[in-house]
Amino acid sequence: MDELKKDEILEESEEAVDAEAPAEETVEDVETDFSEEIPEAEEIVEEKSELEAELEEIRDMFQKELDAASDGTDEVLIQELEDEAEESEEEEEFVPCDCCGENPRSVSYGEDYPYCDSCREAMKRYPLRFSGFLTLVISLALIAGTAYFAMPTIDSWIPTLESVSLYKEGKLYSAIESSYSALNSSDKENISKKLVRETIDAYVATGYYNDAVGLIEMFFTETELKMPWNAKYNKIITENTVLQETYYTVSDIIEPVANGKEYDYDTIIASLDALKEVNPKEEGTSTVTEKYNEVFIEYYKYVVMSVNGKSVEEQLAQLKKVHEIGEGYEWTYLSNLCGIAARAGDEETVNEAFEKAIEINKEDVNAYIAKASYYRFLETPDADKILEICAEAAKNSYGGDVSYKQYEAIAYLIKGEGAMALEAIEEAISSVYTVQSCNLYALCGLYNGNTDIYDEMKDVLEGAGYELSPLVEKYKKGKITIAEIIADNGGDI
Amino acid sequence: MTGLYILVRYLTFPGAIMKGFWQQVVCRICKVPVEDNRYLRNDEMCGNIEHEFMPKARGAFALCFVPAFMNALLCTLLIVVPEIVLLFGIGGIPLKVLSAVSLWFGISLYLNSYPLIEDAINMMSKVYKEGNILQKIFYAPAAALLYIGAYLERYNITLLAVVAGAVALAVLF
Repeated sequence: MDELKKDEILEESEEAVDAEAPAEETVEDVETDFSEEIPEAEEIVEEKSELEAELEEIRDMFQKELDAASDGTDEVLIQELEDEAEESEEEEEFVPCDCCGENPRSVSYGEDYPYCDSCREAMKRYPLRFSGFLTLVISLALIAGTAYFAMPTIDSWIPTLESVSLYKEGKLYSAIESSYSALNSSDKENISKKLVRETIDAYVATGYYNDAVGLIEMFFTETELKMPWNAKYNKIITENTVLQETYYTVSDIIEPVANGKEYDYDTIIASLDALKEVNPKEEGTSTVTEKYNEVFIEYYKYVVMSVNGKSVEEQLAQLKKVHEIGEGYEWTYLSNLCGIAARAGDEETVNEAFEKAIEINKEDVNAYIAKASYYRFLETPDADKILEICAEAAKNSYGGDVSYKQYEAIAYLIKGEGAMALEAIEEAISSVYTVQSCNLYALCGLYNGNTDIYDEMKDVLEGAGYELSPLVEKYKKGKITIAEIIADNGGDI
Repeated sequence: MTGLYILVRYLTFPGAIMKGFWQQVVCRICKVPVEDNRYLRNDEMCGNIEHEFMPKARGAFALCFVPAFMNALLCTLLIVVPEIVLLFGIGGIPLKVLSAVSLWFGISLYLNSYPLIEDAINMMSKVYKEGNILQKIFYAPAAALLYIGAYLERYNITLLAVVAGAVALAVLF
C-alpha cells in the first residue's frame, strides 16, 4: 500500500517536472501568435487570459506537489518504506531450525546446518533409550542365568571335552578311560549326552557291547528309546543279545577245538554253516534272535581253520570272506586279517586292513604289530620299516602297552644291533610275559653273550610247563644263525 | 542388499539395539549431537544412531571401537557356556533353553558389532590424517579391523562367518 503511494507520488512529480517546460513554451508561442494575428485580438486576449489562468492553476498545482514532494514528511515516509523493504528481505532470509522451528539455523557449523544452537546443545544430551538399557540388562541376566544353571555341570566339562577330543582323534581306549571320570563326575542329568553317545559308539566299535548296553540302559529312558532318532540304541541292545546267543551257540559247537579234544573238522565247519539257516526265535531257543550273527559264524570258521593248521592262503581267503560281510564288526577280525595277510605277503590287504583298523581305533597296537609283521616276513626283512611302525605304535599305544617292543627287538636283531634288541625286549617282557617273549629274551641274551638270561628264561618257562624253543637251543649250539631264524619265521620263535 | 541388511538387523535386534546404545553413550561422553537415536529403523542406518561426525581422532575411534568391543565382550560371555552346553548336550531342559536364548543373543551382538561404513571412513580419516603418531600406531590394528568389519557387516558377510563358524564347530565336535 505504502509502496504504491510512493510510486504514484514519484510519477506525479516527474510528470509535473516534465509538464512545466512545455507550458512555458506554449505561453511564448501564444505571445508570438498573438502579436502576429491582430484582427482577432480580442478573442485572442480572452483566450490568452483563460490560458494563462489555466496555466497559473496548473503551475500552482505543480508547485504544491513539488513543495509536498520536497517536504520532510515524505522523506520519513520513504525511509519507512525502505525499512519495511529491508525487513521483508530479512524475513525472506530467515530459515527456522529443523528441530524447534523457532530459532534460526546456526550457520557457524556450515551453511546447510539444520539446527539452531540451543537444539544442538540439547542434542548433545539426547536421552538414552530405555530399549538399550533393557537389552543390556537382559544380556547380563542371561549371562548370570546360564552360569547359575551350568554351575553344577562344570565338574564334567573338562573330562567331557578331553574324552570327546580323544574320540575325535580316534584314540578309543584313552577316550573310554577318560569318559569314566566324566560319566561319574556329576548327576546323570548333567552328564553330556554327546559324551554318552560317543562312549556307546566307542564300546560298539571295540566290541564291548555289554558296556554299551549298560550305558544305554543308564542314560536312556524307555520312552526315549522309542523315539525314531534313538533307534540305533535299540538296535545295539538287540544286537548284543544276538551276539551273545551266537557266541554261546558257536562256543558249544567249537568246544572240542577250543579244549584240544578230538573233533571232525568238516563236521564242525558244517555245523557252523548250518547255524546260518537257523531261526532261534521260531525254534523257541531265543525270544529276540531271528538269525545268528553271520560274521561271528564265519569268523569262528576261520578260528577253527587256524587251529586245524590250514594254510595261510586258506585262512586269508576265509578272513576276506568275513571282511566282505563284516562291516561294523571289524573288532572281531581286522587285526587277524592284517596279520594273516602279512604272513601271506599280501601287501594290499595288509595296508587296507591296517588303515581300516587305525581309522576305527588309533590305539589298536595289534594293527601296528600286524603291519610290522609284513616287513618281517619279506624275503629281505625291512628292519627300518619295522622300527618306523613301532615308533608309530609307541606314539599311539594305550595304557603302557609295549607289546610292539618285541618286534622292535626283532628289527634290531635283523640290523645286528644286539644291545638295542636286548633293551627293547627287556622293556617288552616287563608287560608281555608270553612264551614268544621269553624265547626272544633268551635269544637276545645269547646274542649279547648273556647266558644268565637264557637260564632265567628256561627256568621260567619250565616252571610254567613249557620248554624253550628248539630254535633258541639250536642258536645256543651254533647250529642256526639269527638271519636264518628270521628268514624262516620272521623272528617268531 | 539393503533389504537383507535390514532383515538381519531385525532378526538380531538385541545386537542392533546394543550397538546403537553404545554409539549413543560414546556420543554423549564426547558431547557430539545425536540427531536421531532410533536404534531400529527401516533404512540402512538400522542398528546405528544418526549423529554428527566426531571432530577428533580419539572420539572417531571410540565411536567405532567401543560398540564393537562391548558387543564382542558381551557376545563372548553370552556364548561360551551355551556353546558347550548345546554342543555336548549337558544339563537339563531349563539350561538348554536358556543356552539357546543366550546363544541367539550372543550371535546377535556379534552380528552387530562393527561400525557403520561412514563412521569407519571418518575414523580412518581422523586417525590417519589428523591423529598424532601415537594414535596412528596404537589405533592401527583395531582401526583396520573395524574398517574391514564395517564393510563385512554392511554386506552381511559376518552372517556368513557365523554360519561357517557353526558348521566348523559341528564338524570339530
